[in-house]
Amino acid sequence: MTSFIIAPRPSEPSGRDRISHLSLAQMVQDVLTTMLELPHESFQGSPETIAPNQLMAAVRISGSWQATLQIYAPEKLARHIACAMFAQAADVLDDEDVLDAFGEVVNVIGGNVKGMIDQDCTLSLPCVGAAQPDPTPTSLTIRYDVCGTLLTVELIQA
Amino acid sequence: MKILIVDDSKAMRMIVCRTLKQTDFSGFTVIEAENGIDALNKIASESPDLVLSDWNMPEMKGIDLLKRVRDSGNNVRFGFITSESSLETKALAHESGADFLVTKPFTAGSMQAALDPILT
Repeated sequence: MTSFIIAPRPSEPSGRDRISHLSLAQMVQDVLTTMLELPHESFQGSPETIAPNQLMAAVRISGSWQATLQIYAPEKLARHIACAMFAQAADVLDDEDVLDAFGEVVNVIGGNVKGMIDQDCTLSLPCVGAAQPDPTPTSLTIRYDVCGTLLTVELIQA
Repeated sequence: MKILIVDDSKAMRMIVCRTLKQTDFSGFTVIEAENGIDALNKIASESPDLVLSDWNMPEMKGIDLLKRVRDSGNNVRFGFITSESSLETKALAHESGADFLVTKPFTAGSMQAALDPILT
């Protein structure tokens, strides 16, 4: 697991709409339901409601189809996700466990995206760190209210 | 039965282990490795009966681990548990000697279905 600060990426127009909002939402729901077993519901709020100083995790799909998948959430939710994955209380998990779990979430969703594209592509290892979310609504964006906290998933095709 | 779980994510290793315990299989012990090189060492020293490996890992990817294992003449039962679910990935896994591929996120049911043919 690599941990570092991830600079926000400027948005770029999508070239091919291989992944629909619906299909990406289904992948995220599968992770929240099957892997994490966390209650969640779709969130339709505006980007302005996303707080700064959140954790971000990202994977890059490279090859004949290219995209970056990134997720971000407050540290509180990332820790909640880690508790679900480790099946342990928050006070026994350290920061590395939280980064590991958050990175695995984006890794699973990214792998599913790559599988749907089904082209000659490679998936990077997940990177996790602190990031300021890009306030510009630019790409395929999905938000879920997970345990009362916002999880944002963005797919940037480029 | 000794099962080697190979994944660079400690969280995912725990999920795989927990899910295995939710299947109908019992009487197994679990050992862990965090990448392909670590796994090669554990395979040599622990002689597991089954290897459950992630695909995308640092140091050595799961597919390279499988090729190294098979090239050494080891026919240990080997399955991938990975988010990489493309047809290309599945074909490469099969051609390289994998017994099955389970896609993340998985359930105890999907794990059971993958293991049934080789463990029963």
